[in-house]
Amino acid sequence: MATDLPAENDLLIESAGQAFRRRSLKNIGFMTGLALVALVASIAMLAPILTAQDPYLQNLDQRLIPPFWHLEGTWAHPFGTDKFGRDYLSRIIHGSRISLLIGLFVMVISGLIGSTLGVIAGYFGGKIDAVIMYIITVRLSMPVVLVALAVVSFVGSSLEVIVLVLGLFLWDRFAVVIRAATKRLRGEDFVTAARCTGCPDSQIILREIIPNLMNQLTVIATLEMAQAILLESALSFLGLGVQPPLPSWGLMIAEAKEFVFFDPWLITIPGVAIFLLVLGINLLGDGIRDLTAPEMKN
Amino acid sequence: MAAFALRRVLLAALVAITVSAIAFGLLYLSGDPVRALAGENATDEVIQRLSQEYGFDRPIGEQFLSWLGKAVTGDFGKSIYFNTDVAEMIWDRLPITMALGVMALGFAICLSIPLGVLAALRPNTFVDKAALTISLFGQALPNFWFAILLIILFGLTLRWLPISGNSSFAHFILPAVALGYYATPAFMRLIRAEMMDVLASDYIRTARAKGLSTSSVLFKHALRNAIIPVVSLAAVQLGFMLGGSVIIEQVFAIKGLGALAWESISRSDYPVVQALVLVISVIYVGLTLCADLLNAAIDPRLRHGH
Amino acid sequence: MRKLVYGAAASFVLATSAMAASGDNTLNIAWKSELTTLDRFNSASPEINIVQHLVFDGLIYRDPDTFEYKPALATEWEFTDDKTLELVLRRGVTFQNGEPFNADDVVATIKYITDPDNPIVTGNNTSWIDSAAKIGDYKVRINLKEPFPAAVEYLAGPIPMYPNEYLASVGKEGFSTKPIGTGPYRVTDSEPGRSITFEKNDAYWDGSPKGKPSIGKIVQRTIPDSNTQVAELLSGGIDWMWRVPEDQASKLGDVGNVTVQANETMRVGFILFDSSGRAGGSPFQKVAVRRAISHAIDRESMSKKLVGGGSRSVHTLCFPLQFGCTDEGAVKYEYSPDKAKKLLAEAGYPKGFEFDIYAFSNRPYTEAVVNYLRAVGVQANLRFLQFPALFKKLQAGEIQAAHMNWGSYGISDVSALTSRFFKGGKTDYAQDKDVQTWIEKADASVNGDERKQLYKKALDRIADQAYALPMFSYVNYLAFSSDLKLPPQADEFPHLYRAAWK
Repeated sequence: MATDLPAENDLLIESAGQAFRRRSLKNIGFMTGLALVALVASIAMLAPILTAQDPYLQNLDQRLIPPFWHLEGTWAHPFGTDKFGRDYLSRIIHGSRISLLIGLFVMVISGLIGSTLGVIAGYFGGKIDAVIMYIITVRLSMPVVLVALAVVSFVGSSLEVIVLVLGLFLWDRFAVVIRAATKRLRGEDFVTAARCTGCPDSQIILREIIPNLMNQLTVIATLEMAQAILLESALSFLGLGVQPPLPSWGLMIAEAKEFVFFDPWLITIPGVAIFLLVLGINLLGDGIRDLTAPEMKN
Repeated sequence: MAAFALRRVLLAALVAITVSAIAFGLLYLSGDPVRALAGENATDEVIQRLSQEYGFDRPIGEQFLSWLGKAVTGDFGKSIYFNTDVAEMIWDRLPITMALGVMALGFAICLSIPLGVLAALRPNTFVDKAALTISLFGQALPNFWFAILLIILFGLTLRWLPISGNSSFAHFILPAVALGYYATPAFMRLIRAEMMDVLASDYIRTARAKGLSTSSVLFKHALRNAIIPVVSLAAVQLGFMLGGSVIIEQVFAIKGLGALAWESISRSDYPVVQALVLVISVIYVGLTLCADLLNAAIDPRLRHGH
Repeated sequence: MRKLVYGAAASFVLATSAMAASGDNTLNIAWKSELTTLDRFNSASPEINIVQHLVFDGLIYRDPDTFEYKPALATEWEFTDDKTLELVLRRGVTFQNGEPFNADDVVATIKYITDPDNPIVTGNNTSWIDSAAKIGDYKVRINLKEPFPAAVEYLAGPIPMYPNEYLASVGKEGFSTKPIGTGPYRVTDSEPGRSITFEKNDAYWDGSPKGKPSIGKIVQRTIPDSNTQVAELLSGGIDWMWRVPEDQASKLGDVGNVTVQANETMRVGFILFDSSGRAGGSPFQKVAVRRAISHAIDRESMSKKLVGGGSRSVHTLCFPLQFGCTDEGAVKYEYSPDKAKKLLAEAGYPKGFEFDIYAFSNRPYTEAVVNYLRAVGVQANLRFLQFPALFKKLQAGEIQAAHMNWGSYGISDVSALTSRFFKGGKTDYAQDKDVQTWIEKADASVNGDERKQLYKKALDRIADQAYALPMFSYVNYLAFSSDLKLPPQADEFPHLYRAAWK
């Protein structure tokens, strides 16, 4: 659960914009990431169409049927069934929704908090910046994993609690990077020009600053999303994640861990799913970083 | 420099106190330590007595201030469960988690230096991409699963390494790999970027022009220059690992700070959780402070940056 | 065997290498939870019972196979009246520190556990005792607060004897890490929460129903993750583990060199409904809804498929072997989703309803319950809490429904289970005055037949009104090295002093 240090300097370089599409096609990592994320997203959107079976339907007479590539496997349950006799494929398909949902919501909450703080600090500077820097430092110095665990454990966990707690704790990277980027933008000619013509600050922030932060925002957003999905699985391992019978991938891995020695497919299938999704998101983020930071290439 | 250092130290102390206050408030809001302490069939009298004994019946502000006052002198009170000094419990386990953290860092750096250097030497080639992908792979696996896979492969099938516990150096290898792998992408990116900067700089070009061999340029000059940012990243990462080793310690049955934290959370052993949050944040603050001061000493411009 | 994909080589190595541990006569064991104290009276962890069996003896011994009472530190006992129990003590027994065992120790132990100024954690197990008096060096009298027929069962259970002089000299704190008993093993080293080392008590007293210990040394380690425990067991790092998850247990049995033992325990699961509306208005105030839920859950299948190993589904809120437990003539709710749906419609919930179900352990069992309810249109949101948090909510009257389980502290008497939830008090969600009266009378009666009749009335009412839905008995799976000989047992907590190498 180690967190990346916000790698400011990697992200601060401005987008080249025009050549984006041409270059993106050549970037294998980016394309792979895009394909993986698009795949999971479309599975999530089409989940009700793709599954013939109810992912919650329990049948204790049909427990632990292995997947089709095993001798005892059947095509009625291509990925087999779990401890409760539920169709594993349907759960994987529906689980993509929960996992994406967690990632997206955490990203949005932490993104809103972090980038608001970052923009304000970077734009206004001075005392406001000092105060916000202090808040950021406090946040960075807090062992969030411990505090989050304590809070979730005492409050009791549910999808909402997880999303909220992760969202409220994971905004640091947004704040750090956006603050620095805003600071830099503020010194640019076009912002100075806008200030001179007497535009109100809110206008400048909305029209001049934020549009120019989009590249950095996207890159951090992907990193945070991946992080949130993994953290949910970690919380599930400790029994503090999403509550069953909701089929989140993290929870499926955690529930399958007692089968790792003898029925390993139960942990391998959701494990590979989450691996591909997180890898996809990370590759996508890296790809965007490469594509929007051409200087790094030379 | 002295004024700068003093300002940073004061700020760091203030940060640690704020962190504790927040943690204190959150814990206060979300649980009931006395019930946990008294057991499943405790009577009301027991609960009342205990809550007086531990001072849980006083207003929260008062509780916090009195706690902080003692904490400053190194007195964290007693664990509700073990009846031992919290400071002693933490002191006991700190070296274990430190060892784990340092080994994990060591692994991460050992893996990312060659990857980062290779990537920097051949930017945007297949080598570069492959190096990045290797480091990203680890980051995409849920870490407890990765840990179990390591146990099965090296502990059970090959029997090269012990599976659980913390009684010897060998016991730390698997957990350190499991924990350190997650920090590799950050190090690798940093090393790659730094190396590319340095390799492009004038004095390396001069060195090359003088006919020094590539390896000599690489290791004697370029890498040495890239090491300072790596050290400050390492300091920060170590801080993260102290707080983030909960799961790894759980899987490998290592009795370090992470395990202590998790068990104390499960038992609502507030004095311990509270003290851990403070200690870990102080360590983190201390490490970043050192890194800052180190950087400032090397690069005077930074002293006026903030 | 073929399925052991990841560990394919493991079994090979297992089959070829002898267990290293058996060579040095040390039994390496692991369990999950940390024991915060080795003082039996101040721990609520299940594992403290294992320690108790090893380190201490009680006045009376309950045979783990037949549940028959046998003389232990007391050789004779007799009720001289309803509230007085006289015991003759065994001569020639010494504690592990050489202190002789006599009446003073019994009196001191009873004083320790009934001291109102320093209440113990497991106080409910001893609340029936008023005091103890020495009436001779080897004779004591225990005074009861009120008639309590289950006294002998409790004395044979969680009430071991402590040495008076040692206890006075080290106090509660000292005793928690360095306990001294008369038992077959003594604690030679302990790091609280991490490991405990037990060594054979060579001077263990003759004639103990526990027999003489065989294995020289038992070393316990705390390993929180059960997968890691299994890996250690397969690689020979440990020789014994307990509380193995069911599905893992059945597969582990197929691996060579590992013996799996399933012991049915006294632990019974049940769903407690807020019938009296303590948590505010709830659908569970309607008996039809409670009955509907009772019909919606296939307890038989859960017991057979999810628990296995001799688990049985139960129809009244008690363990079948407990004194006073019977389901004769009690209402039995068979599995019938159709009936459940019909009852729900009658109660005014044709489309079901939503509620929070609380649980604190064995989450898969609760998950199965949630799935069954979903199938009849009832949406149960699982709220999984640590036991203390859950118990607090329960006592505060904040819970609509809780999936509980209760081990009765191994006490084979209905008073250890049913009475704790239906005798009034904070955990009584039925608030049925009749039931309360019957149970109060039964708990205090010394007439066995009368007790049985009263308990039956209470149990029948609880079943008929479906105040709680009794589920099934729990099974404890042990897995250990096949080099180890360990007789199966009928009660919950392993009697490791019976272990021997083959």
